[in-house]
Amino acid sequence: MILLLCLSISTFIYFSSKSLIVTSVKSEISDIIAKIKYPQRWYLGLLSTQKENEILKQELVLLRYNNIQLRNSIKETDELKKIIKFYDSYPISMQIGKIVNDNTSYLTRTLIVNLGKGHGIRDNNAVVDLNGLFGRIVSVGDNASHIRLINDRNFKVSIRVGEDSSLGLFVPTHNNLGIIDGIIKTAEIAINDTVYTSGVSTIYPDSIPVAKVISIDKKEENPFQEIVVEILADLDNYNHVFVIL
Amino acid sequence: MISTYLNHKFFILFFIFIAQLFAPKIYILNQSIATDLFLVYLTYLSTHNSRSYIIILGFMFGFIQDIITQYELLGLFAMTKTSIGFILGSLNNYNKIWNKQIKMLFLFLTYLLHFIISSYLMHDRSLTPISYILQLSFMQSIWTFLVVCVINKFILIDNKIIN
Repeated sequence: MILLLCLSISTFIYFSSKSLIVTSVKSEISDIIAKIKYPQRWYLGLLSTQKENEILKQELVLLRYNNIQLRNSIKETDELKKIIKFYDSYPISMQIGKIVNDNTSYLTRTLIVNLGKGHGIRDNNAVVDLNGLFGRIVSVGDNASHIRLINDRNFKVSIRVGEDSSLGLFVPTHNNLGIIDGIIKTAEIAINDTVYTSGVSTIYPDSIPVAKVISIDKKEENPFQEIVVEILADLDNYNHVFVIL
Repeated sequence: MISTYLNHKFFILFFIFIAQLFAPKIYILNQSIATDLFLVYLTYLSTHNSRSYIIILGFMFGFIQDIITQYELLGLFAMTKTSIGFILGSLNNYNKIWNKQIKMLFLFLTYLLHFIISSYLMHDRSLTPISYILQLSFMQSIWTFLVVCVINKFILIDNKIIN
């Protein structure tokens, strides 16, 4: 107790001095204390780094989410640009609609578009997308309508194909494939030829791209060519469609 | 009797005070060494006084030494003498247990510690290398130890520091 008291008094007196020597001793003591406290500072630094890391992780997640949103916005913008370009370039009067519901099943393939009677939509209006014929309106509500897709089993459309614009009938088979019936063997059809609507219909205007020829088979016993086509419309990633009025 | 004893003590203290004030410096190997008479007297007192008493005396001697030798670093010798008083307190406790060699070694190491601490706190490390401080401390320890030995041999009759 006496030792501590005497040491405290003498230390206080010594360190009260403003001498340069005392200042240097103070700085050395500070250095020693800093060295002793280094593990503590290191540990605290580690803890703060961990905390900072967690905050940064959260920010990263948020930024990723924002990034995804921005990418989606870019995609949507690009798509809308294409739609507007398509809309402006097409001579026929159309309404742009958005697919709001999906009712596709094994037997029927129908979708709901957010256009109805109020938009001038009627039964049997043809529906196209950026690539080609998409389907037709089968029932119309006030604000929404059902679209029967081109790959629905009950869907058939009169088409023209080849250099001599041979008349035929498009019938969907499975997935995005279909066949062309009624093309005689002498007709000049080539792979990758585009199949267009013929216009021989009260529903579909002519020259709408429908499908692309992917295989041709001419059998002796069959008077017609067996042509397999691939539907051009994007039936998997639909978003916006055009209803021809 | 008590009064005579105290008068005797004060006379010695006064004598040491005057002697320390005018103590000549000895130059050995380009280093000035001053005799620390307060330390020698504290060593003498430690042989037959309790540790608490030596700590208080050490503090007082150190403070007086601070005043008469240097005033810039007031508290320096008070601090070192207090610490050394605590260590020298062991001399009284183990006086009859330790032999002469151990006592001598103990005293030398105590002095060395005292001078290392005081030199360390007295010199600016940016100007004075630590090797100089160690060298100076070592030589001062030897000199103080020799003084103690001389006093022990030729001046002290009873109550010898090292016996």
